[in-house]
Amino acid sequence: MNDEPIESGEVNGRSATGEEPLAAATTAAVTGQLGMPSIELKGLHRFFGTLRAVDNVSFQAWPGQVMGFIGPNGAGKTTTMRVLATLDLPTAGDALICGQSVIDRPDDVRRVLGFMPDAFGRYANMNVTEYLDFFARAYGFRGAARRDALERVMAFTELGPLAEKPINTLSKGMSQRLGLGRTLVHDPEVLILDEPAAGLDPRARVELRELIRLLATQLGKTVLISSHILTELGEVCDSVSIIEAGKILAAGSIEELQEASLAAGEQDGTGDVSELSITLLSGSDELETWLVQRPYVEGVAQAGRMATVQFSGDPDAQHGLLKALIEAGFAVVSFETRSQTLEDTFMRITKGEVQ
Amino acid sequence: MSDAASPHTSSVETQTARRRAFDARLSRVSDWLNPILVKETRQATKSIGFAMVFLFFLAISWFVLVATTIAAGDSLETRPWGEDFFSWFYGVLSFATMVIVPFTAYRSLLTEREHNTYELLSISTLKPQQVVRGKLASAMLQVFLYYAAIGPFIAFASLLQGFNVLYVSWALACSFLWSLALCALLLLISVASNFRQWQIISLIGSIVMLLWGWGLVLTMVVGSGLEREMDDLWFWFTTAIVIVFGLSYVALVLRITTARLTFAAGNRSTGIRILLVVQFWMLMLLAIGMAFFDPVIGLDDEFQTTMAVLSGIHWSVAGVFIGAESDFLSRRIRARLPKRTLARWLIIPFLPGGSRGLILVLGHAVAMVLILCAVSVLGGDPKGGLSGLAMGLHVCIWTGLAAALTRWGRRVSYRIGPMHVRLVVFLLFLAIFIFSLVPFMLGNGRIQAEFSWIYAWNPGLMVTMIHESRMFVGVVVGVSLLSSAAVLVQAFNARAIARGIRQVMQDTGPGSA
Repeated sequence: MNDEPIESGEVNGRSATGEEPLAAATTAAVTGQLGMPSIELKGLHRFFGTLRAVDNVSFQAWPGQVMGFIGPNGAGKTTTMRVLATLDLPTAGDALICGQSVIDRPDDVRRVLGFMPDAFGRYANMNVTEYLDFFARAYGFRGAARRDALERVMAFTELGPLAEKPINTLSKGMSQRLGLGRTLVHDPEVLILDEPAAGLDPRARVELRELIRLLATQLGKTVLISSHILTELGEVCDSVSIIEAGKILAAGSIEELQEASLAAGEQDGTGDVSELSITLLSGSDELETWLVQRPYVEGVAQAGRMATVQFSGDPDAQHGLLKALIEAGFAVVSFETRSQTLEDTFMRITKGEVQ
Repeated sequence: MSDAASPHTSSVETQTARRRAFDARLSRVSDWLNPILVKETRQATKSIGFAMVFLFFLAISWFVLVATTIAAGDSLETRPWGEDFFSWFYGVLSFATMVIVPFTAYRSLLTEREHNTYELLSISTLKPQQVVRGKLASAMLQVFLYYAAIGPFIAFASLLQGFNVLYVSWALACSFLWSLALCALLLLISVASNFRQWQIISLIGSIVMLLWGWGLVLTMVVGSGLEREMDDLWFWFTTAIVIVFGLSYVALVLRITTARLTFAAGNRSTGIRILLVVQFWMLMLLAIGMAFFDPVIGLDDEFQTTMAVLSGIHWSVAGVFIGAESDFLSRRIRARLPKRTLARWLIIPFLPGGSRGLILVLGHAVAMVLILCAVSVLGGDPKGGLSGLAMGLHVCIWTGLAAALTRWGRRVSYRIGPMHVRLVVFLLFLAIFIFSLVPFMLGNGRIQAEFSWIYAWNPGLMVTMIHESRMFVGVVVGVSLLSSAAVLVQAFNARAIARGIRQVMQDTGPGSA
């Protein structure tokens, strides 16, 4: 683990200053047209007495971008999201949604923003249609516009077959779909989803992930999503912001963060070690002994036909190791470098600080 | 086969088409209704709880009808049973509309907050006032349903002797308005605080208050002989005055409830302040109007003293709440400040902030003193004016104290909030009030001949002293004491008031510091 956090200025300097937008590959076209980030936090602070729940947080998200917002419990994710959703006021700084300040123009923000809290209440004695119909009315939809909105949401979330089902009998997965439907009922440009996958089974998680991807790629929505399930975020997000103890430790595309965390690791002597996974055709007692004698090998763990090697060499050295293995007569079936996951990056960047 | 089925199929299709047309019409109508009202009505139609209570209400009404009819026997046609029947039905109706419905309204808004559904509402484009109005409308719809259900029973009672149509109509109309007031009040209580302890206290307190209020209304309406007063014009005048002022307080309560639900950066104060001013001028108009149209009462010092006490209570309570507000002006409010200098000067007392609120309260305290002095000069008796002066000075003291303590509290700790200050001021007033009664109680319930400086700090005793001609010196000393205290307290606030004015007059927009 690196001792020094990666400063947001180093990793997400471009996002914080707005000089060069993030996730350019996915959003350049739309961004170029609109010229304005969908979500923009400018030195956001939120204090509760002496507790600095959010401390000078700045980042941007652009149309069509899915941004992950990750951090340990109590890091300030939900507080930041509540400020963005106009449910709370910042102590200092500002947050803009589609160019509208959450402080100055909360009514305008609410028209373009959909917020799905981690735990949303359900009304008793209501079915799925009535629930969505109520929120369509709450957003000012009338007559045909309201019916169209309901049909659109029902079709997107595939809640049609459950239209008449009482909402307090829905499964967790279906409830989350309903919550997403409610969030989409007024067709917002920006979606803020706080832990939407919490408590979902694997199938529901995959389905939700697909829905979120569709929202960004097909409908051009900007999605800010927080989750503890980092593997999920890694697959759905274009970029992430990592927050701990109220401060943004890093922000940028996942690749950028991984590079930055590796670079940071190199500085403290942990970043140059990669993990190699070697599988042989059959088990060999000599493999472990042979491997530990090779250059750049820092450690070996063998289990049957498989060996995991801590390797500090560069790709050329890896190639040399593979060549030497084959020349030494080991029947190598696979030889792969385990790529760094978002979870690894997160663990490197955060220190587990709790406020 | 097909020939036989066709008429049936066609009939079913016609019915389905009619139902669809009806649903479509209903949907079109509901588009123009408050979404909360539509939601709550839908929920109520499916709620077992509501159905049970409503059926129980009908069952009790039936039981009363049958039991009383059996008890009356042959005398039903010869004796005046109409009043008794109405009393029973009124008891059932008033319990439903004055206990059950207001409590349901209380629970309804409280549940929205407890179950986090209010957050979902507040991030929609529904305004807080729409939420409050929707909740109130839904409660009043229930009241209307209970009225409709009891209608046939009261219609039966109207066929009997002793049934006073005018009195029953008056009682039912006033009860409807009373239910409205109770629902509004209970909605306010439900949003008064987020603390769990408060919710438990408010739950128990609300039930006790509703039951006590129900008993009070029953004793007023049933067997109090009020119907005998109905020939007197004053009865109707008083009813009209009470209804007008009562509705103004309902509006105030709803406004405060809305403010409690309003986004923190929004303007929570101006609407409340405007209503407070309107209420005050309604009271002053009553005082002036009575002086001209009915001098016997209007120029009587007792009447003027009553006006002074009511105005004093009005501004003292309002002042303690307003004075304890934070002087911070959000960017949202600053962005909407008028550009013209005169308009800014005029709007200052209505803008949020304790220091600016002091200008409003002190200005109206002065207006109250001047009006009551003028009316008492017309009547040739200074007691009304002096009572006005005493109450005005008390308003200055308690309001100023709240404002000064709030600023001091903020400097000491961020944990000291406006509600703490309001509570401290209330407890201080209560302590002084009780302490001042000691010499009064030692005098066997009569104010002592000798003046005690402590009397001045109790508004009630001060006013009593003013009406005791033998205590002239005491009144002079009391007024001097109160004036000194008022000046001293306001001296502590002078800089804050000046700062509050500068904040508005020198503001150049949200972009400025």
